[in-house]
Amino acid sequence: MAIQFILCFNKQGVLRIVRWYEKIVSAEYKKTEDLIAQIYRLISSRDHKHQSNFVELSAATKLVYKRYAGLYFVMGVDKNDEEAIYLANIHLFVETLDSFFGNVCELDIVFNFYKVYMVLDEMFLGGEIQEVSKEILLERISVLDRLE
Amino acid sequence: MVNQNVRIGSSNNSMTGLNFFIADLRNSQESKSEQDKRINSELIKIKTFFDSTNTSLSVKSNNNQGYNLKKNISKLIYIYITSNTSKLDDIKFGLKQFLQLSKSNKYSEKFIGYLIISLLYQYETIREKLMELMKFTIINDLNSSNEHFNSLALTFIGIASNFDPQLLNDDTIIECVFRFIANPRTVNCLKQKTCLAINCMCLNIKKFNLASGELHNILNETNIQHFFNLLNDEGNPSIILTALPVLEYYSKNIDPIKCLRIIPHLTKILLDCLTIRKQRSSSTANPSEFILPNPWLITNIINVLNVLIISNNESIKVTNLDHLNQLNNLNDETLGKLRICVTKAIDLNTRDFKTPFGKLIQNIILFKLIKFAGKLNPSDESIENSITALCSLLVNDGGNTNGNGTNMKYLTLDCLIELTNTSGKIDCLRQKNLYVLFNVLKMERDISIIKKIVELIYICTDASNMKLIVNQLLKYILNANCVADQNLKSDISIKISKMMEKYNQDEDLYMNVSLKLLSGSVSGGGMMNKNNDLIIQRLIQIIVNNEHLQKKFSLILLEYLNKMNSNENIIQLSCFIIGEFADLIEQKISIGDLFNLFTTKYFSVSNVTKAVILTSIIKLYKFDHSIGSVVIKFYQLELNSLDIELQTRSYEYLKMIQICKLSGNYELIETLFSRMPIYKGTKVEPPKELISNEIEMSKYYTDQKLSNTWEDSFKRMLIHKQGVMYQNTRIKIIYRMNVEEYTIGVSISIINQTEGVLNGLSSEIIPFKIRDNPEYVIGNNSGVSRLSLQKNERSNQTFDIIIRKPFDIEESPILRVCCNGMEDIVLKLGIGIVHTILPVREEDVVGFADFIRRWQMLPPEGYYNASETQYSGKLNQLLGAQGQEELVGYLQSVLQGKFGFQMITNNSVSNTVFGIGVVHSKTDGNFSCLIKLMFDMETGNVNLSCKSEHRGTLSKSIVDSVLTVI
Repeated sequence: MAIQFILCFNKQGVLRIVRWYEKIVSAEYKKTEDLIAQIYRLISSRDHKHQSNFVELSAATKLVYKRYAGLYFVMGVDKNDEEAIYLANIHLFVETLDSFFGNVCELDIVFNFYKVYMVLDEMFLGGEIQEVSKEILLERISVLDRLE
Repeated sequence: MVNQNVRIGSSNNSMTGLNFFIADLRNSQESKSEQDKRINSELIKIKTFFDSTNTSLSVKSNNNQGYNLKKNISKLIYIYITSNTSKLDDIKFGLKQFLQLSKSNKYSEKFIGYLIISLLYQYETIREKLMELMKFTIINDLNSSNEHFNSLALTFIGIASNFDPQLLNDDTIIECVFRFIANPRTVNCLKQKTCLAINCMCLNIKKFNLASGELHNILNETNIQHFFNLLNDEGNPSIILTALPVLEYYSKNIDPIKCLRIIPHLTKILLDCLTIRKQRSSSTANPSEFILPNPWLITNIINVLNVLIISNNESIKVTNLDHLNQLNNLNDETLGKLRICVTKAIDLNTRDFKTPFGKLIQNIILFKLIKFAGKLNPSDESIENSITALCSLLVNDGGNTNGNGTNMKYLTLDCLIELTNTSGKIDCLRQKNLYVLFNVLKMERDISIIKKIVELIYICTDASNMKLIVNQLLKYILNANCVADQNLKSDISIKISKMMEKYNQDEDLYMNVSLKLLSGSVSGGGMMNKNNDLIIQRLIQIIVNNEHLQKKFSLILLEYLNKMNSNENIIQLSCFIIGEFADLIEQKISIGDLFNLFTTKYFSVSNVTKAVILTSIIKLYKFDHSIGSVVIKFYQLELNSLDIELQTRSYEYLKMIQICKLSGNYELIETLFSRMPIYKGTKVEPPKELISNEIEMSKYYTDQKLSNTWEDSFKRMLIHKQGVMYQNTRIKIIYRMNVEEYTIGVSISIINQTEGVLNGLSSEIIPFKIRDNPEYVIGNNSGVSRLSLQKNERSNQTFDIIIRKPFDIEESPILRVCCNGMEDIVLKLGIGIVHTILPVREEDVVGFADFIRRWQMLPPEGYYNASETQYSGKLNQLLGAQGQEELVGYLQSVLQGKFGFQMITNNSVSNTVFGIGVVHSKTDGNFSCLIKLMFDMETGNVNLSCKSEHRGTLSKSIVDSVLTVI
């Protein structure tokens, strides 16, 4: 299985976007919020300039993440998956948001979180990437966005 | 002022009420209580609104109501997300309204309805309530003529099928989804979504371990052709991109052979992707003059090729796939093209892409293709070159400390690990580049990278460099400055222990290193952890079982204990061992002094260790009653301990001393605290976690649910070379085995016993392991000869089991037979190393004296290097025998006739049979093994013991097999 979850949170650890594609079974984290808190702790403690964008979360899950200004974008992937391609996924996702909102900032995501989901769901389905052309994505999202 | 916060999106669809609510919350960011107040008052309002919708007729009746529902539910979503999901319980009151909104016929409303349900679907309590009702909505939307509704439903399936097995068994949904693929008029974006939704459903069928019936059937028939056809849509790379995961699943789990014909096609697309094109106009947003290749498409294509192509090196490991020889059948043209792809990827890397994204893509493609190159039977030289080149990347990148540099290092290491795994060529790395890895390790600060280096170093370990590696790693973790992470340290400790378990024959080194490992963990705070427990457990095992080590290590541990700040692990171990063997070192230190030493440590340690010390003290008392009064005082003090365990122990030990003192008879304490008996049986083996072949058994194997009667056939197969394996009212399976040295040829026939026709017959043979040097491999699998069987017709199948090393009989292969309309038959085949037993050659036939001599030469159970397994117990079956002679005859006939041991005649001991045989294996070679079975006619007790030259599971496997039969 490819992407297990996609998260986006700000520097304070407030969640902005969350999408689970797989049930994360763990005795340690009975509640989703504990798991999210653990992910935030793990990532925010890392030096984002001198350390890699990959870190192990558990025996079954690796995190691939990247910080853009004040926001962390995180993907949880299977331990056998190759990290680099998910970094490209994150990049494409952020670029698409950037073009869609026009120089995206955290406030856009706060107020238009449902539109971010619209972009997310056009890009990913069931944890796999669905569309990689930014042009096609933007065209489709603008159609959906105009629908009543 | 509030509105300043609001940046309205590009559409007119925004919800003003929602924006105000969010802005309000943001304005009260500083005070959490104010925020909560605001949220609670909003929740009350929403609840009231929902109650009012309950009484009105339907959404359609009121245009505004749809909008209001959407707005309020959006607020709930916002609350849920920004509370980091902790406010789940506060927002789940409106399930009915969520469903209602998802049924709306306006897209923007339906979208929000689906959004909230998809977010909450992972919670079982919510799912239970929504499941059935949601199904209708999904089916309606799949059947709708509105493509946007279709796509919402497909997206939802991509999420919900991960949590909801019921969804996967719904034939209507499956049928609706497949309709999009079959319909040539489906728009591209829907085709993409359909592919991925199907992929997701398939993967989850596997994950939930559901009978794959309907979904596989649909895929199997004509539909897979549709997916093949999608590959032709070269103008739309994203369609190809999304079809590939389904093809990967199909090749892996259904029918690889059918997919072989797409290899040339995939090769062509791959080659095309990797061909660099210049951009037509230089004025585009991308400053690079080349068009970036599509790394996603390349990744997905190679994922499929990785399943379909098996390299020569892997074919040694994996032989259960029928397309074993396909790489050889892969025509030279395709192979050539694939090799060109690798060259092109390397070439691509020499181009200068300016943007970080461009560089990332270069790396993705480069590493993907280099890993893939291992599949293309590269020459040793080219692998060596790649390894050397990759290692130089590690070194050169040392100075580059930006984020990309560390990512690059990480990916390089990852690539090296994969390459050495697929190509099996470790020597170059081992001999020439080990020092590079150590250097990188010393300098590195990123834990993710350190983990990779350690993994790679671990792969490089063999008997020749084990000492060097152990010492280096030990030095590394003992150096507190290097890395502070406790988990990492304990991971490395375990790896060191594993290396020693695997390669080391020198118990002194083992003990010394282990002690250093234990004492080393003090620098990080001396926390007890599971790994240290494992090491302690193993050390105790070895010391207790090896008499000559007891005194020596008691003394060594005493030294450790005497140090001022010895750590808790060491204290625990020392107190236990010294308490056990205090009499052996009495010349060096008196029992009284030991008592003082223990008590000084007592107050600086945690309760767990305190408990150990309390018990050690009573053992000291056992050796020397003269310390009685101080011991009693000490225990009396601990009666007031706050810890219940410490209190209990103190109380009990105190009572025991009192009882003994009163009666003047110390037998009670002597008996209770007599020396620890040596570990026997499975307890002699190192703890599972320390065995180095991390049992990477395929989860697939362990997931198999065996049919009820499997044990019958399992037993039968252990002793009979042919017979009936399985039988029910509809089907009968018979088998025959043919052993040639280490290869067991098996042929099975499946016979239709019904009056009608059996369709869709297939079978699968599942080995315990397919990677990591498996103990046995399955080869020359012919597959079933017929897919459907008329009445009384039979389908034949042959395959070989090649035994490479001795293995546990519990891990023997599993046969799975599937057939339409019938529950799968899943049987564990009773095929093991015992089948390769042959009597020793005639010229080597041994007499009884020779047998005894050999028996004594092999170290007995419990010793560090031994391979003996003993079993004692009662076997009631034996009680029915008429007389001793008959019983001897029976046992001999089983051991000789069924297992192939040579029996050794001996008239002096009448209640024991002796046998000797040779087992055969391809990689580990042949081993002689000796067996001794003693019985007691009266009681039915037997004592079965087997010794072999093989250090490992061989003797256990033989004992298990013999016991299964008798």
